[in-house]
Amino acid sequence: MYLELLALDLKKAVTYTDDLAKINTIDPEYLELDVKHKVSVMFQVQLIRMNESASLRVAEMIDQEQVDILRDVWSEYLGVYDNPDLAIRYFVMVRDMCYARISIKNISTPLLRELIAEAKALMRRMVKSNAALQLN
Amino acid sequence: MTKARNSTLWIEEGYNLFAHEGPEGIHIEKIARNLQLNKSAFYHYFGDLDGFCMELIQMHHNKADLFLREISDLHNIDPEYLLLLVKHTPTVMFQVQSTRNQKNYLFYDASRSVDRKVNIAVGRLWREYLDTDISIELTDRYYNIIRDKFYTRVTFQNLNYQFLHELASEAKGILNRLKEHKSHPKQGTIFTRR
Repeated sequence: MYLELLALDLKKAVTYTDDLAKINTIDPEYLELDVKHKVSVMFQVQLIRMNESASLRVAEMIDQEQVDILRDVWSEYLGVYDNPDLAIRYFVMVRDMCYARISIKNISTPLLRELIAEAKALMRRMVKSNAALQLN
Repeated sequence: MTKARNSTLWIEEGYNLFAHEGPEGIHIEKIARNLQLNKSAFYHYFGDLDGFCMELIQMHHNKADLFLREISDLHNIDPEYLLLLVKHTPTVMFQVQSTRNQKNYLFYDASRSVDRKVNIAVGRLWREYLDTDISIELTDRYYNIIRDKFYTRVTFQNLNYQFLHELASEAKGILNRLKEHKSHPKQGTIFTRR
């Protein structure tokens, strides 16, 4: 039963990543996609929390695929045009932060927008702050 | 065995089960079975499940206070604070479960309250660890992101020094890369299209 569930999740993940590959923006397209696929997203969160090798492997595979697809569009959203590696490392942090704060009941575009906009603003302010400190 | 001692056994077992399984782990029959006690004693001590849950939350606050007192003796995040988290694994995992179960307001509110206290207690060490001159407000907000990533990824199995060290190092590494990037503008400028 458990393995069947994992197989079903992988099938749903393929649909999710197919949709993901079509998006051009984080806000609103990626956010709306996560809400549209909220069952898959929450299943992914549960897989991570279970910390069982088969579930973790599936979760990591889906996470990695998401990272590969979103690299450019996330860099664009963040404004980190010249350093997609740094941008995507930050994305992994922000995505996991979102996983901690969402639930099947509260997941919505406004909530996700609030969370990632806050993360984006923080990144920008840290960069500006560093730049200002170096000028002084 | 005194009444107080006996009720503490129930609470400790319930606390441990909650830390492992969250609210789904709190079943009177299961706790009674684990303790090899009659479940009628449960109703005698706590009245009902809500009363028992209030006792669990009180125990969590007590354990969190102990954890907070120990933070005040620390000198650094890595390794001292990270090792303290490992030492207090059941308390940390109770906190994690409370945070994850947002629909259970009693536990969730308790976890938010503990988070606020820990943020204050650990703030100075965190800023020193990041080795940055950016504002307290920014380092605190960055800490919240890292803490929530921790809440997503941590389990009883992986809550060890290595896991925590990698997480903290990654957080510090991202911030350092931001600094490096600005100090070498010819290599490319963040927030600017080529």
